[in-house]
Amino acid sequence: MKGNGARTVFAMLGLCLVLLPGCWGARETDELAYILTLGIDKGRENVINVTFQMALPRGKDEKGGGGEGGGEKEKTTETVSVEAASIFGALQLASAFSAREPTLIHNRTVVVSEEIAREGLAKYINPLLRSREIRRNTFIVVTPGKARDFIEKNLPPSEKNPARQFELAFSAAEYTGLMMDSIINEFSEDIKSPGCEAVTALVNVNEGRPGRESGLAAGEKAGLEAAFLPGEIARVGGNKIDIIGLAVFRGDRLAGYLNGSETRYYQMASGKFRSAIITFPDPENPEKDIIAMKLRKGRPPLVRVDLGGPVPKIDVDVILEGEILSIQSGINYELGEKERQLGDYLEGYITGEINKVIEKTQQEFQSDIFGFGDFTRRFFWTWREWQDFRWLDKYPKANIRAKTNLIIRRTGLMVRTIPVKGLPEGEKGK
Amino acid sequence: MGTISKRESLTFLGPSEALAMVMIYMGAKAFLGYPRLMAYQGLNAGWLLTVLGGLTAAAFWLAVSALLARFPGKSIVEINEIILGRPLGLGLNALILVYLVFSSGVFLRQFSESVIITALPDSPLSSLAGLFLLTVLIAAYFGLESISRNSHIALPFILIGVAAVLVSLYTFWDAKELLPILGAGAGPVLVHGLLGSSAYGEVLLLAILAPFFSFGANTIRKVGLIGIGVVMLYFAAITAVYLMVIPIPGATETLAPFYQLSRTIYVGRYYQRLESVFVLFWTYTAFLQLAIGLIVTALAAQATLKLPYYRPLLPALAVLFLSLALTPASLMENTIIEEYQLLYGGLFLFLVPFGVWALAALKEKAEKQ
Amino acid sequence: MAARWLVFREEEPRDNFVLLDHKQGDREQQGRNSRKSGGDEAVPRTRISKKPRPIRRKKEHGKASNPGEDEEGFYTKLLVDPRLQTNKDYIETIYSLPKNQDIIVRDFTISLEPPVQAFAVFIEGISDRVTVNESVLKPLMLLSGKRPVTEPAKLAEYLKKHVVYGNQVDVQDKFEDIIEKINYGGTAVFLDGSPYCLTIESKGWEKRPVGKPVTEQVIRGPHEAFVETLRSNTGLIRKAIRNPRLITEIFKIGVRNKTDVAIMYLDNLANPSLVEEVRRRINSVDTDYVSESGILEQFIEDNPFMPVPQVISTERPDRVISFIMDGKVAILMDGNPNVLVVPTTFFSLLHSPEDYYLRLPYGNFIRLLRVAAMFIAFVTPAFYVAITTFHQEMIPTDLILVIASSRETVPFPTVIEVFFMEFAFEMIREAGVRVPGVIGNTLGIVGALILGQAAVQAGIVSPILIIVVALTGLASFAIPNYSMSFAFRGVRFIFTALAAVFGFFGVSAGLFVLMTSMTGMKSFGVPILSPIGPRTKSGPDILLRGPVWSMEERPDFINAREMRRQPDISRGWIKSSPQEPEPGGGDNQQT
Repeated sequence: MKGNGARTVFAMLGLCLVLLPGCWGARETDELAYILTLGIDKGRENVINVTFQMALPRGKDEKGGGGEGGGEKEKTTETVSVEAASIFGALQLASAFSAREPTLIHNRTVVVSEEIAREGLAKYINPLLRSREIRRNTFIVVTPGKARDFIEKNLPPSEKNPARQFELAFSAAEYTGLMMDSIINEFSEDIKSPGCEAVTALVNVNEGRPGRESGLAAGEKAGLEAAFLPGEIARVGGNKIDIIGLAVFRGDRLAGYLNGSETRYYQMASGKFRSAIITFPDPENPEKDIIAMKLRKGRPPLVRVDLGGPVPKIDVDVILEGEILSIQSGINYELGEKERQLGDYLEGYITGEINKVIEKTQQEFQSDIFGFGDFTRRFFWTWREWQDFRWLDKYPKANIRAKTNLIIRRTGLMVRTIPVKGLPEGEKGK
Repeated sequence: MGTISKRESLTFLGPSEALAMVMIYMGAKAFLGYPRLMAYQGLNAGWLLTVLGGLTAAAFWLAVSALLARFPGKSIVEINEIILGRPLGLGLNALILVYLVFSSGVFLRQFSESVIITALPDSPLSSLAGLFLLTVLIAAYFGLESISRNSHIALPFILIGVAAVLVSLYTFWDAKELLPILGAGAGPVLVHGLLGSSAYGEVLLLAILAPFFSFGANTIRKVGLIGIGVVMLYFAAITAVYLMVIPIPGATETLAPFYQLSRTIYVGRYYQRLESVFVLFWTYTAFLQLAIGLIVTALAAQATLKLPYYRPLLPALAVLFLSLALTPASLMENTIIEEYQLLYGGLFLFLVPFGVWALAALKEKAEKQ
Repeated sequence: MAARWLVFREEEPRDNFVLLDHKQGDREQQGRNSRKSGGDEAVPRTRISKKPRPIRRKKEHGKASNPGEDEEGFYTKLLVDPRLQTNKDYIETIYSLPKNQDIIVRDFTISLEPPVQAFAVFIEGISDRVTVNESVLKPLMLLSGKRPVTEPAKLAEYLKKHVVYGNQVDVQDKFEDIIEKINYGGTAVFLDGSPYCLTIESKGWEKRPVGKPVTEQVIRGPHEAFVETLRSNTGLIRKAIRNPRLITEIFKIGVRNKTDVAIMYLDNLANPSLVEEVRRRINSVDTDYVSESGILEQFIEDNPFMPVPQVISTERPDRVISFIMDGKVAILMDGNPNVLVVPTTFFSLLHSPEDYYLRLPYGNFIRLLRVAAMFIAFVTPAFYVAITTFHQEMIPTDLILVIASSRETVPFPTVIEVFFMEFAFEMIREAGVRVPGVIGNTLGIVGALILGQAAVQAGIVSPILIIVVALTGLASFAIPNYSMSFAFRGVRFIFTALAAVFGFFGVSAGLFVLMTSMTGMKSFGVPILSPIGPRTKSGPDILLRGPVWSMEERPDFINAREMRRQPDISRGWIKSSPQEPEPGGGDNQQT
């Protein structure tokens, strides 16, 4: 019968469709090479040198590795670099020597070298946004050296997957304030926004270096404790990379760097701060002793904008809560008069630091990374008017003052410190 | 009037089903380029445009439902003929038909392209559009009742899915992006807002399907108003969140705003990468929208041309949709066509019935005197 | 003797029997000469020139041309003859005695003044020996005393009223009815000189005692199940619904062999048009023989090709009782323990009686589990295929690396793997049903595990797939209705195929078509997705159930005669406080 015949034909066609492997874009999981990290460097032979860190498949039961006296760590990723004119060109070339089709769908991080960043990142960000393989919450980081070096030397001892490593590192950032996660979504927003400028996280290779003599007082050393750019942290051992600090952009060009401690104060002023443990000089004994406080954001900072007058005037109130973690001198800052004294001292100290960072961005970078411009929006009715106001040009001259309001909430498990019993007469003063 | 076949004349939809159909028919465009268009026209005040559009549409709808109330149980196709006479009414109905076919064809193309971009990058367009139409054709053969019940069942899921996406993005919301409040300026906002009522034009579905409802003109009006109201909130919410998460000026760049929104979800390390699940919701909505479009067009054609059956029209219309969908040479052409439709469709969809209503009112006054 | 092995001999013809096309006149011949090959008068085999057409059952009854040869009808016009020998001849012809040795003819004499010759006819095996002996033969043969004898014509009536003490005795004169009675276990007594005969109900045969339900076991609840005898089944229902308005109507369907079908409903509750529709559909079934309620179900359901069943088939009396009390109609069939209940909705197919017997939180928990199982059962393999072939970005990076590495050794694409494992699982399941007893269950589980493990180690499938398939299989076991689980098992393959070609988009398309087809289905006038398909009022019992005291109204779609089950406050004890305890109190009181 006609009906039967037609139905049979269709059924067979349907069956063929199903059995046809890879029809119309279907790809098996083992046909793809998953790129986990992407690096962009300036190229010599061609425009850019793109680095791919591809995941090597690993089985669930790994034989040998752990049992045999731990020789070399099993390689879980493979890093290749290709010179090409565009990222997608590099992707295509990579399939010439990689067994599987490289794909960016599991890419988590994009590492950009300083040279490229100084030239302007917009022309690389836009294709990343356009591609359907890249997600908008991909991390973007800048490195002062070469992206390839960074990716190669990044061998976290406990993480097999660099994507996870970055996720964990950036989520730890919430508790240290030394770095900040930066994703392409925010980055592309900020390079186009008339109210804010972009920042990215900063990374670098650190082969390790022992400490150097500096001859400063303890208090001053406390201030320099986190003031490192990546690659300069005084440490030995561990993964050979540092993730600390921020890269500041003006438009889409790199303008400069903020070190670790400046990053903290930047975050406080811009409201992105979560918590950090900061070491301060002891107010009564700044030469010898320090105080370690855990600071937490109390409320988002209050920003008051005053556009009357020749220059815009902005007052920023940073509200923090503190928890005392360490009082080396044993002075009872926990209670009463001392507590207020400590609070005032710290407020002054932090305010000073914040203002320093603000000035640095105003004078050195001329870039409003704090986003104060967004607070000026409410003075205008239309977008056009606000755009014409050109906040970013007015920023370097603006009069911005920060103020800190710190409340010490807790003091750890001790309410007072009993002084250590006295030393015998002859040994005092040593 | 003998234009409705016996089988369909036994169809009586309840108000919940009619409401669900209207809401899905209107709301499906939020998954395409609509939020981007609002962002482009109104900048920061994009969401305001949706609200203004909704209010305008509601006002027009009152007029249209008053027209329906004068002729209870008749669809607007028949009413047009009664008031304007045979030739003029026929012409007007033909225009309505053309518009319906055109808008479904554009939608089909837009949707297939969205699916290609988001889920199946290497599939050929014709096969996707073909699958779309095949599914929709099969569904349309089951009848109006089935589709309306399907919409009724699917609606809560769709609303919850959209709400889930919007709420999951909470950490990315930045309310400052909605300032300055008037965005593109009071003038453009007002003009585009009024014109934006075309986004709610699908509420005329209720007018075309009036003979199939088990409820009277009063409830039709209420259903229309509730439908417009809820969809207005829905559009406003999506546009507002879109502006907050992907702010101006970047917001005017993306092709599929809702897809981008669902891609950005990142609530902790495990709750991410969920956009493929939303592909499920949104393709289901597209199927429903096309199915409703197909069957409504067929019914309208049947009423216009006074045919005894509408079923034979279904495959013909499907082929018509397909060829319209495949006509624009590139996605960008189709996007531009879509934008034109959203900009100026309202003039046709609303002003014309409004005119007819005014004419009917005048006629009645004249008759009374 | 040795000659047998040395000398060649033609083999005796043994398989020369050829089943030829039947001609009307040949019937008698073939009946008697079943061993000889009909070589001469055989209809020569013609080449099959036409393609085989699907067989359509034609109505044979009534079209028979020769009344003498039509087996069913030729005694329809016969009446009881006063002469005993004629009756005996009739019986011998009808039943083909003495060849047919099931039929017993017992001659005896009824001792009246004057004695009357009689014979009794019954079928051994379906008649109860004791009843025949005690209630038929004994009173007639031991009749002593001289009762006034009426004329022969009224003898049967007299015997029925005064002598025979069976509990169902009839006086018949048409052979049609008499033969029917004998065929169903009755005894017929023919009296000499009387144009009437007595038929006595003496049914009794070997039947299964009421046992435990086989497919629908519960932990909390009655453990009775229906049996194969219609009367026992109706009895099981009757003993629970002791309402005089419970009506049992009995029909006979089938032409060549009439099977009893009973419908039971509450007269003051069920919608009369529903009952009428059920009656109409059952009576209009026109076929040779309906053997099982499943076949009847297929005859009377609205959409035989749709995956979802439109009648509930159950073997638990408590379920049928609760359905009848809701205003539905139960259809029982003689010879099998599955009772059909109409009308049904999709959600009723997902309920199990245990949900109601347990407390609210437990009942809802089980329901939620079952809903989850339902989704898992038909969508999991499709999702797995779609995600691993089209949407790899959905999988967390760590997992996808593991999957990729475990797929290294597998030579087949994911779709083929999935189909292979699903197919193997279904085969195991089917095999487990056939293998008897304890081995069957064990075989199922062990077979599945071993097969899966071995396949993984051989590198034919990837381990995650085993989990997917096992989960799917388990989930489909959780669906309470047996027919329904088939729906999901079948649909699952289609979804997998769609997912393999179009990814999530295909799954969505399949879901859409499935949903639309379900919303278009009706079960005896009730849309199958009520009360959410068309939105109708219903109590709190769709997916989750509300507390028992809040189920006040019957679901709207039933349209029963009375819609209220219970008043607003059905727990009278909350309206008032308990009696005041006497002062100087009881045991538990504080002083």
